[in-house]
Amino acid sequence: MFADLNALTDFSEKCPPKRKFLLISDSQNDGSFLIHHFLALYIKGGFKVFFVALVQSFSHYNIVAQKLGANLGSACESGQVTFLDGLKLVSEGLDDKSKQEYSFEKPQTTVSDNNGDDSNPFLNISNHNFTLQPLYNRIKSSLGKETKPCLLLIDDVTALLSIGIHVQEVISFIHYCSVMMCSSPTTLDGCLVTLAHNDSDVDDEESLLLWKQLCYVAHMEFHVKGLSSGYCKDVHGQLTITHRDQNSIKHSSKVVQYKIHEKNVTCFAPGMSKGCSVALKRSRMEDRMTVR
Amino acid sequence: MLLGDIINGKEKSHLVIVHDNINQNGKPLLSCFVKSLLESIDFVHAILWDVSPGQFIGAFDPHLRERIFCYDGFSDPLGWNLTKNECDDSHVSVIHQNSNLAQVVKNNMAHCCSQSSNSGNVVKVAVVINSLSRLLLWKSSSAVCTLLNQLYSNPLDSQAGYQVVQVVGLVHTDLHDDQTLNAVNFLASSLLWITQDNNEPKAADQSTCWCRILHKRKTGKVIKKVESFAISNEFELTEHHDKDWNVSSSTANSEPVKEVDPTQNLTFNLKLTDNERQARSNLKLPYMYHEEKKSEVSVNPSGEGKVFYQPDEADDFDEEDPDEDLDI
Repeated sequence: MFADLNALTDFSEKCPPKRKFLLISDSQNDGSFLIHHFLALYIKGGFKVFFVALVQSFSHYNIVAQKLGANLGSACESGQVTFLDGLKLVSEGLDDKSKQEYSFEKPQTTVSDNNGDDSNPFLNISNHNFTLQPLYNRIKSSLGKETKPCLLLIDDVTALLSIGIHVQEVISFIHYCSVMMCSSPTTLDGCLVTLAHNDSDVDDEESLLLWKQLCYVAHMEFHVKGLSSGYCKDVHGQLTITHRDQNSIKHSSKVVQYKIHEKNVTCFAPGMSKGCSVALKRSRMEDRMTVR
Repeated sequence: MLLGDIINGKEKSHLVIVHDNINQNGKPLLSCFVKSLLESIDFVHAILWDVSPGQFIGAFDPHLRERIFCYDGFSDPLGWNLTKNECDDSHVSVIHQNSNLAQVVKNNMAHCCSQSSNSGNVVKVAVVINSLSRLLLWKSSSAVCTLLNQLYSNPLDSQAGYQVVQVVGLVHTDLHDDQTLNAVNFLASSLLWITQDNNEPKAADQSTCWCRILHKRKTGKVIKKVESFAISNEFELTEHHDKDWNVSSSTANSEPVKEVDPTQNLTFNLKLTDNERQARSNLKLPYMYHEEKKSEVSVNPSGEGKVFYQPDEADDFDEEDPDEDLDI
């Protein structure tokens, strides 16, 4: 959890985002530090989290959370965090041919089985009519009756495309998740955080379409990109936070640059990094010397 | 001006398509249409895929809300939640991805009309769709065109008791290919593209937007305009300027691509002028053998060695870059 980001977004562990869909996108840079930020924010605040991890292992998230002062392991044991190990479940779903045929013959039982918490939601993944509805049902049964703020965290939706799920299926799934977390008629004060890649140098129509559609649904977008001037030791990238207000034509946005440290992230106005200002001072000093 | 005339009904238009994109949100303009329509007609039927009925209706004054009927395709478009048709609110009906929309809407309209008591008059109805994009992604463009056609065409017999005055649809332009968009655009009598004006200075008023309008009159005349406008929080339209299409389109296409030039504004010099190059080639390095130093060689005291370097012809002392011809 990073203090600078909290200040920028007006969120804190006491006052987490409510009924918001926060979309993280990255272009030629890595936006996953924001995933760690929101995970730690909710664990420290004592709120419930459902974490669908599709690109990293539990131990990875556990170690990073520890650095940020949150204990993911004990939060999982106490039931505060439900960790869905996508890496394991997807590979099981791909391996298990026999079960796959079995459940393909009886699709009705899997659809109506809302409380089947232990079944693998990625079971029929290599079927062409695979649906993410079991995953949604599982999330719903875990968070649906929550009255306090809670978080649904999906660490990378683009990964769902990569394992062969159709883009419209992913969009429907995210639509249902955002309806549940942000506009359910009950008292659920949820928050949906997810990451989608939109690398400017990758010509992937599907992931671009996914990102654009998510933009229309999201309330806030965190766009992380590399510096246009290339790699820099003191500035790791640029973060654009866009508020997508339903009732105004243009969206308001702010731009900051950031640097990732061992246990923290610092944000500053573009060009105002400490490293930059030292270099600037030095060059000014040199200018003065040459004038003399 | 043209945009205002289309919205307040001075320019008749049976199908209006509003195009927005990621950076410009078309929903306020759609709400503007709804508010203006409610002044002149009896009921607005809103087909909602992108927003919840509560959120859509909440933007309007309470006395207007009674005349808006919503079709909720937002909460459960695929039937995953197995919702029962919760018709506790008579102003909302639930629709799904595979609902026969035209049928549902027409039935509902007929039902409303039979309920509204003044049987003598024809009830005027409009349909608003937020947004068409979802339908276009699920179904073929021809299916969507059929739907639109069914929505705005009125039943021939006057028994129906209602008349569809206008259909307004929102399309997220950047989600579809040109073919799909062209099919839908061809049906429309008015097309509104919300755009960014590149001539506009950055510091200009945040609320001002530009809209490219193509309006086809019934007489066959086609009007093309670009207008700047602003929409207040109460969805009142304010128009600022208008100009013709071709003036702006030529400027709009010539968008300069800004690229960072790292060699700009450097505190040191990366290039040499001719004079500097000359000076450099004249410089004699201390270890090199040349005329003046000859004397030193001759008076070299015995027992002491000194190294001199004299470049010969085979020496690679060229100024040119040896890897110049490589295409890396």
